[in-house]
Amino acid sequence: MNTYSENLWATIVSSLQSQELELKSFESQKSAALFTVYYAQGAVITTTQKLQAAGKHAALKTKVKKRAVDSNNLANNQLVSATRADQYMKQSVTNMAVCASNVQIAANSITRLAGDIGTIFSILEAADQHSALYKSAAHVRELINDTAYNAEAASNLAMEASMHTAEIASTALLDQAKSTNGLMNNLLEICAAEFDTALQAATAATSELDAASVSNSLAGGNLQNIAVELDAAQLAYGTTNERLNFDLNVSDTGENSFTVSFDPVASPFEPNTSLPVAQDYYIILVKDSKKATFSLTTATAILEQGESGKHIVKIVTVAPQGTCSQRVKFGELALKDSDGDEIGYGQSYVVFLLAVYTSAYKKMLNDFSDYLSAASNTFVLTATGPKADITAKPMPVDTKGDKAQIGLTYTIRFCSPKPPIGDDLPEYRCILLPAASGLSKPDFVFDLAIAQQVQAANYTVGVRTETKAGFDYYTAAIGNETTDNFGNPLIGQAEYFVLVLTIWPGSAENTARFTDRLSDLNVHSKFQYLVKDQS
Amino acid sequence: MSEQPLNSSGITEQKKTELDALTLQVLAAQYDVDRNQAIVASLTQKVANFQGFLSLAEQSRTQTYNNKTLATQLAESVSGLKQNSEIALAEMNAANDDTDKLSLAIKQVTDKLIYSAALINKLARDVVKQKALNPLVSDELVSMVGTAGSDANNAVALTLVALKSAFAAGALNQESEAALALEDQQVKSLYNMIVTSPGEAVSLKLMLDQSYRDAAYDYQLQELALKATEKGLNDAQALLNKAQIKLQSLQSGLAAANAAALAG
Repeated sequence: MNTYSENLWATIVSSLQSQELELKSFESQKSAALFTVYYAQGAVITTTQKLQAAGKHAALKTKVKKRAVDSNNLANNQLVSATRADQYMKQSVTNMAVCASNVQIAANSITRLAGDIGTIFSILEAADQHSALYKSAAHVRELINDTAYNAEAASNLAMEASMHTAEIASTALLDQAKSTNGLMNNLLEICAAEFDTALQAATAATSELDAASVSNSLAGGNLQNIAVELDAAQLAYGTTNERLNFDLNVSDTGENSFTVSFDPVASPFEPNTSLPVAQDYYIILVKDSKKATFSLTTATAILEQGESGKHIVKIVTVAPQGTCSQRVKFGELALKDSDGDEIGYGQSYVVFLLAVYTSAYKKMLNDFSDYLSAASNTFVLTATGPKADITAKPMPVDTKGDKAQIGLTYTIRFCSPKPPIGDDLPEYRCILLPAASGLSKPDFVFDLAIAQQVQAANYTVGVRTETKAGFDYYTAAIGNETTDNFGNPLIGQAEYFVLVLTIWPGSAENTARFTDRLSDLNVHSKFQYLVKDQS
Repeated sequence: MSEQPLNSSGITEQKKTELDALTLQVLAAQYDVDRNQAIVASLTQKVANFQGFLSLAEQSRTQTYNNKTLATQLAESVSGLKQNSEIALAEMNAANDDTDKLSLAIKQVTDKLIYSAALINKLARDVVKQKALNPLVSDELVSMVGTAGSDANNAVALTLVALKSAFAAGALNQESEAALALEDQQVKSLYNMIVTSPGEAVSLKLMLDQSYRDAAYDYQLQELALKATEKGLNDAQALLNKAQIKLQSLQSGLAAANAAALAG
């Protein structure tokens, strides 16, 4: 390569690098923005749940307070009537005592009169028993004695009535009404205070929800902006790569192969279809971390080792014009990277395209170097891992007849194709997502990247129960301690989606051979967490 | 003795391979420790959350228990009040029966007395007339009928006072009974509202009892949740300890191997 070409190459590499950095920056910004949206939506859902709970609590406290107020009003009225009754009773007792005394005095006076008549009768009896006076005195004596007898009886009756009236414990009743009223007032104060607290909590929850909604809306707006900027950056990178780097692209990366595509090198002047500029094209797999130092010299050295070194792949079908594309079956080829290392899963790679100019072209320019492209897009090689499937609606564990059992235990059932032998087993994480009623999917962002970030406290690992017809069957238990993806405890009667994340154990350097996968929503994925009534 | 190729630091290739393998194991163990540490951290946070929930549940349980106790005291007080109010009203009814009989009896006595007094006055006039016709009629008799006349007047006057007083007391007793009846009716309503009200809205006591039962149940749920989370944390902590021990042992092994390789 002559100095001009070298300078051009350096410019291309630097342009692509800056575009790629920009792209990566936007990608990480988008991923961060997506997480921000996720957490903001989580905050909205959490505060909504909090508000609902606070509202329910406040409604209950309202009901209790209403009843306490009604009871207290009645108790106050009752106290008034007990006070009046006591006043009346006190007067009644006095009046009855006076009455009894008056009747006693009257009875005494009648007795005294009867005594007078008795004396008159005795005198007349002694004088003349046949006189008219004697006869009428005898008659009067009979009547007055009878009257005196009745008066004595009435006096006894009056005493009894007075006694009975005095026995009525109206003052004790009033005291009891007072103490009842005191207890009632006290309880009302407590109920009213609890109501106030509950109302404040509900008001606070409303403010929290408002704040969470504002943050959520801002996060959503921010994500939109970044998504637009990312699209633009992708377009810019694509254009730069197309114009300056042969549109070199790696796509369809799989467990054992990937596809490389590029535009062949063209002559800067009138294209001559019969005389291509380059005679051969090779691609070299380079670790992403090494791409900055990978040079034409290294590439040429690798080319000199030949294909037997398995560090290089020759592109077999090249048309002089149009895009070339080749599936590179690196597994079959036992291809190694530029360092001579085996291809590692989870490792980030790029490819370089080495164009070997035709001898004629080289001679014409008197430059015998070949041409090395700038690095392609970065890619990672993984295989699509098995995906778990929910096989039945989560069912409550039957606890009939077991009174010691409190709360509810549910069992989640799912299956997954048996992973290939010889690999580490993946972990199956059951994640419960709060479901808005009537919706067939979660109303917040939740993708693989987010699922991978759900903390250990908020998922339940499935346990294998059996293997059948190439499938492993798993169960996971949900209990009182289970929390949703946001870390909120499950709410009785609320609906949830169940997702299973199949996650492969990684190491410090590499991710696993298989990609992590999230189960699809199916008919069994949504269930209602019914909580048993305690009574 | 075959000479093995040396690299720049003078370590044989075979030893280097061993060292590399050991290094990879250390890295894997470190990854395992980090992973377990993240799980322990997450579960520690969860335990703290559930401890918070349990503490709130306990507060609520205590508060609702206190309310339930107060409601029970109130209910007992209202029950006692209702009982005593019923007794007072029944006694007042009985006393009023007495008063009623009394007023009847007093009226009868008054009627009889007035009739008798009229005959006594007639007798007195007859005696006085007889004395005018016949001086042999004893002076004592004349004097006695005079006394009787005056006593009759007195007795009628006193009996009328008694009659008036008995009717006044009777009337007041009826008012008192009405006041007690109103009081009793209000106690019954209060009793229904606070203690029990068949077929009506839930009483205050039942509400507060239910609040306590709910709170107690919630407390049990939170206690179970905390226990389960603590168990999860203990298990995770045990795995972390194991991973840490493995890492330490591998690190020691690697250090020793490095030292040996450099010495050899």
